[in-house]
Amino acid sequence: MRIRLAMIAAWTCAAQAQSELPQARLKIDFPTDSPVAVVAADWGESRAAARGNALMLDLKTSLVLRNTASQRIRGVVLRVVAQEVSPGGKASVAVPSLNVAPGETFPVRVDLRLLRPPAPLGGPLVEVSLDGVLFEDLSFYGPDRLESRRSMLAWELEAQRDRAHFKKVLETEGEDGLRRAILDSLARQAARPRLDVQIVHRVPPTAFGGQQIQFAFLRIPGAPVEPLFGTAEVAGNEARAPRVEVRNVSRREIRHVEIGWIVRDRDGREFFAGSLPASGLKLAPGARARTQEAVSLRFAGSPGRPLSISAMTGFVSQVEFADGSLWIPPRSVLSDPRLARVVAPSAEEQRLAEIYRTKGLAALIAELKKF
Amino acid sequence: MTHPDPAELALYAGAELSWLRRLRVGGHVRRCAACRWEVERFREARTRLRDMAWDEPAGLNWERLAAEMRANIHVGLAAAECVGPEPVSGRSRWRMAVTAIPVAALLLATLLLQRPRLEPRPPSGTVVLEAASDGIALRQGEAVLKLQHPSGRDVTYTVNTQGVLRARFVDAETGYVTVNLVYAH
Repeated sequence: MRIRLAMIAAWTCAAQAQSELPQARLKIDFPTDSPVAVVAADWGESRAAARGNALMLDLKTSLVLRNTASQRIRGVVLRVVAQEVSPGGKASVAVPSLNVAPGETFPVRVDLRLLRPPAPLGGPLVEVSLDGVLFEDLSFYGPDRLESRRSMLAWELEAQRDRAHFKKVLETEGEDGLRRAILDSLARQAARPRLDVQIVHRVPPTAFGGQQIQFAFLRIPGAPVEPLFGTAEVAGNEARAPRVEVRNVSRREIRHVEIGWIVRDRDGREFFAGSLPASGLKLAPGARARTQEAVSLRFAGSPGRPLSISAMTGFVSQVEFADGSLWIPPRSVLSDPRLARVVAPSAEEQRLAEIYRTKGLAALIAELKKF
Repeated sequence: MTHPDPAELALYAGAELSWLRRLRVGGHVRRCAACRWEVERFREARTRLRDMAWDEPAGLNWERLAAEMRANIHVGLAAAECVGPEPVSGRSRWRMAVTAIPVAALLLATLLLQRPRLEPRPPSGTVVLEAASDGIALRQGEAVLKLQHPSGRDVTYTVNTQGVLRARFVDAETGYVTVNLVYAH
């Protein structure tokens, strides 16, 4: 009898443990003059549930947004803040490579999970707001709290560069040439070595016991900055406090630089580890700047093959000038076999390859002709 | 040697071929990038199917799954047309078969024993960003904020040392590239 009662109690608790999330806990906040309007918000599958000693919230949102501006939209970034769950922590969902005409609608999905200690809940748990919109003339709208403008501009310039490449292939080599180029892209995407990564931000300066490894730098023709020197403290699969010194070799003032970071393990395998940005610069022509972050990055390779960093390579991957214009590497640089093997294709190349994969060559050609 | 047909590759991806045929197809797949790519797609589709079956059997989207399979078969056939046949001698095939069995056993044991893990040991209060197969997470003490993406998809992760972690994928439902980001600052 006791066992039956316990089972009934457990079943009742389990039934109560999972419940729909009240919509008051979720807030969408777009400015009144926003160039996108929320047409519909579906919170249908959002749930709250007890998970051990913690409260777990699953938020599955599908927003339908309308372009209320007078030009085409190329990208949108939504800011997602869960202040009570992770003070200071935030997230965003970006949709680049858009081609949304005035009056048209498009969907954005926000699928997130929150886990927090049980405590009385106050205001909204999650707030979704607009961080920025990029238009076809590369103008930008939004508070840009997450520096979305630069990211979206880089994605759009990459998109223009890669669409031009595939259009040229179609023009010069025909449909068979385009098919070969896209299959090659798909094969590279599948073969690209991947890393699992963990970042610990602002690590305290404790004894680490690693060794200083210097960066080797790839020379990128036409890059506005020249990397001069760089090191990181490395032990096994962990790298700490990477720093790089660069010089402005252009004739314009620079405010942001990113250095792509490739690590090599003891078996000679190379992986794209990430990037080292330096922001808020006022780098005059000929001047030098240094980037250094108190950060620890741990990497894991494929199962069964632990990673041990033995060498590092850097290359200039992005530069923003003081006037807001951006430099990205030309496609010819990224076609270098060493970079092509490890650097991910652009968002646009990934999208075009997916169109070919799911809809075929005719759909890809039709898509290229839209731009 | 001609390429195995898509059905044979699908069975190979699911380890459902007889061992002799598996050796033969496996030998080809190891040397042929197009077929290897095709096998990886079949494996991804199987993983997704399994995940969907675990998570939400009622909502299993058979139409999308069928479209995914059709897309993979289409790409596999197109890739097979683009690459020429690769000549392989009968002798090397047998040599490969003899060496493959102990190597496969050794690899399996290694996989089971040595799966690398990113053991987090951050000081309390420190913000940690992590990439996992189904999403990217921001962890601070016991609190976790995770932006999820469909597992098994082609997801590209990038980090920057200012404390931003990105996961980029093509959303199968919308067809749009989506970039999820978590920030440590």
